[in-house]
Amino acid sequence: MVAELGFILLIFAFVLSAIHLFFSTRVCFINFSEDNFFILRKINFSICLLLIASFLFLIISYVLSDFSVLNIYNNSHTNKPLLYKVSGTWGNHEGSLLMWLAFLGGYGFFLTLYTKNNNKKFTAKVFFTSNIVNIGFIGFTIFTSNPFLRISPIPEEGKGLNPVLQDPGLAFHPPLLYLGYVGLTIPFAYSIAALLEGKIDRKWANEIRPWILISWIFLTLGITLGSFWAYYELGWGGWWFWDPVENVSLLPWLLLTALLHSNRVTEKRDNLKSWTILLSIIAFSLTLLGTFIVRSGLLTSVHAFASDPARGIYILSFLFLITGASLILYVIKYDKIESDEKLNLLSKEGGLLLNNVFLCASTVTILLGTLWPLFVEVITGKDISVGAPYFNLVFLPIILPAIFVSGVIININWKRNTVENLLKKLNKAIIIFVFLIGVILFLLEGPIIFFIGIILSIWLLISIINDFYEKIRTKKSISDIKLSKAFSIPISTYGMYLAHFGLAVFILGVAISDSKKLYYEGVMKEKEIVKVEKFKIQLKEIIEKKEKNWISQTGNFSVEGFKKNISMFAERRLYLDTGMPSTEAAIYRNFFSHLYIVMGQEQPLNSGKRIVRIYFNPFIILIWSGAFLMAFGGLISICDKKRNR
Amino acid sequence: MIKKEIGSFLKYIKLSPIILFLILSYFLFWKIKNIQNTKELQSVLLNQDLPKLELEYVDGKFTLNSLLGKKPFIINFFASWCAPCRQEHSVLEKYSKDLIIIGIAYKDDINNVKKFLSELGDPYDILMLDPNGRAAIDLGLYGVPETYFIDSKGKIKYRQVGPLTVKKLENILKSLKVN
Repeated sequence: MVAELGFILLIFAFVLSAIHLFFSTRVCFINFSEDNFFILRKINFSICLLLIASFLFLIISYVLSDFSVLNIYNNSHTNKPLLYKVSGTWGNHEGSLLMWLAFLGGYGFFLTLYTKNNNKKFTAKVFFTSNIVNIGFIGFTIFTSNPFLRISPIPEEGKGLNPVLQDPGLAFHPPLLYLGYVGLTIPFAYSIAALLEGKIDRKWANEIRPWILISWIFLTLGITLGSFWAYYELGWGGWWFWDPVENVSLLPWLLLTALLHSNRVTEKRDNLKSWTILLSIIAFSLTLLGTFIVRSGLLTSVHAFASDPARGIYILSFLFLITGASLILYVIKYDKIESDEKLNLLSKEGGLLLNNVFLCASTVTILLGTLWPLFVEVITGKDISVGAPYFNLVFLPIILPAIFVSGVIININWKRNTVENLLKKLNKAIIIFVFLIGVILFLLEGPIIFFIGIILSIWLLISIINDFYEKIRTKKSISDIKLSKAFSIPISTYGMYLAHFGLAVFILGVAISDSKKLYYEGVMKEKEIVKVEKFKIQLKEIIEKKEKNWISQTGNFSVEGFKKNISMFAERRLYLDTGMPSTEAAIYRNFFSHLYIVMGQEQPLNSGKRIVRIYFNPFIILIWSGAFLMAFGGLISICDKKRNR
Repeated sequence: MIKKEIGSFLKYIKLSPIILFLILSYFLFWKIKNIQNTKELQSVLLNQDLPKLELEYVDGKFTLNSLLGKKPFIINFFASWCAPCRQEHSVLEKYSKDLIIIGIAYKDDINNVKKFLSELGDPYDILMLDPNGRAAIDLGLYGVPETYFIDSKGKIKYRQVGPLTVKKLENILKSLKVN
């Protein structure tokens, strides 16, 4: 019953969206009246609530373990703890799409709520665009991926959720990522509305800023959590693998970061308008492209959803129509929205533009690398794959200067600057920076990339401190600081400081953990000892255990090399409902560093021999902490009530 | 003069996003079209001998071994809990006189299978059970329904993933006859 209700609500939402399309077309392009606008708002609210309710009904069906629903039969099991029954809802293609819809509903709800007093004619156009996106996704769900399909006769027990997905990290990774993806709909809708209106101003940029920030925060958190989960649960021993699906989540993030900065220029200087619009269109299209790649099985990846070409065709056609139409509209209205004002390169806006170029170039290189196997296959018919070496080689040289430049941009002023002024402001920072580089080069040793990373993160840190110092000091002398001035700095600037500080921490983590890590792989038997540089590791015994829905073998490792000797437990589980194995790595945390042990299956059987992989990852936790700080900085920026400065 | 030319060239730069997008779309559409074409074949077992299958024999006019290498037949994996199998069943019914069809109930309960067949008709010359999916693993089953076409030499000639329709079945039989 619950499932039928959910499906009926979904169909209602679809019908209402179709009505909305007709009605809003009339309101936007034929005759506008305030009354009609308020009706539109009501329809909007209804669609949003229907979508959210439909998703809740699916969750309820999951909690009740209603195996008469095919989707639940395929992805759940009565043995599962409640958390994984709920998270099972979005651990599969159909359910995750319904979650996508619910988020569209959620964003739509707040959008409708917060635009009550805005320009009504313009807002109607925003509704018009976001509704088109709604229709596309609701149709996709109903026609190709209905999560409420029934089966008969009713199976006694479900097939179970993929065991690797049974982890708290994964329970929250997709929702956060989707909140980021779906959030991009709103900047997109605003951009199309602005193109239709043929007018973009500072107020427009100011209105979309919080929406961009929200998506950016969620996307940052989602990617961070996903990366952490891959490291923690999958036992891959790394934090980023340039997997196609990882890449398609990074692409919108990079563009969104670019958008965040270019929108700042539009907001502050009424410039880079067509660029901001183009970025939001493409960032949104990239989320569609990402969905397409993941859901159609176009590229092989660890995130293999059950692939179905019919779904691929649908989403690709949707992508084609919506992006094609947006870009054509962009070409038509380009001259109307582009400002004639020249942009001075030696200024904050010039620097942000330069950084935008870097970010977009890096996006293009990743997109190219991700889709390269496809291009090659179409042209030559050969199957190739592009791996980490390409991405490291191409991505790093583009993104590293961008990071250096952002340190300078933080310190530079808007509008006109002279080189002397800039140097005057930065001279102390540069002296300290050079001094620190000297100390580091003298004290530490490692590969060149290690130094580049450390130097960049120090540079970022110094430039943040320098800017703060310049803002709170009085004009009279260099040592005269007035702390009261710190209160007059806008909150969003602190958010910006924190986000860039997070970036510095992130880079530091990457540089150290990547160049100072230790790795061992070999066959071990019980009682055997291996030495990995300063560590002495012994596999003491194997413990066997049986639980409600899995049996496990746990290797007890004793480790010498830290200040005190420790025991670590690496586990291998076999889930009874699906028969699938999964590994739980043993991870020992020592401040920011991890010792990480993964134990393989006994092979050959009864030989007592197992493949054991040991990693020592110094300061790796800084990577995720840094990314988390970035997101937190974004959150602080949103909280700034006096955004309009 | 040169400046003017650059200026007029820059006017067209706004077209670049849409052009790049169209090129990209071409590749994507090409690929998705080709994914569909590959769905029909993709079995390493094609033109190989039918592997020995471990099955529970339920009933039938003759045994699998008496058939193998003598007559062409088809093997149809189905299950009473599978909705597309119900759809497909009418097609099998229609051809049950012309073809030798072996039904293998995948991960199913014998009572449910019997109920299923008494309700929709029994097109199978031999009925077998694969309760834990052993035979399915040997053949690399994608899911149910799935159908294998075996020739008179006991070699697998074709594999159909998903439900058969009358049109599909006619096409398959035609192409197998030609070869």
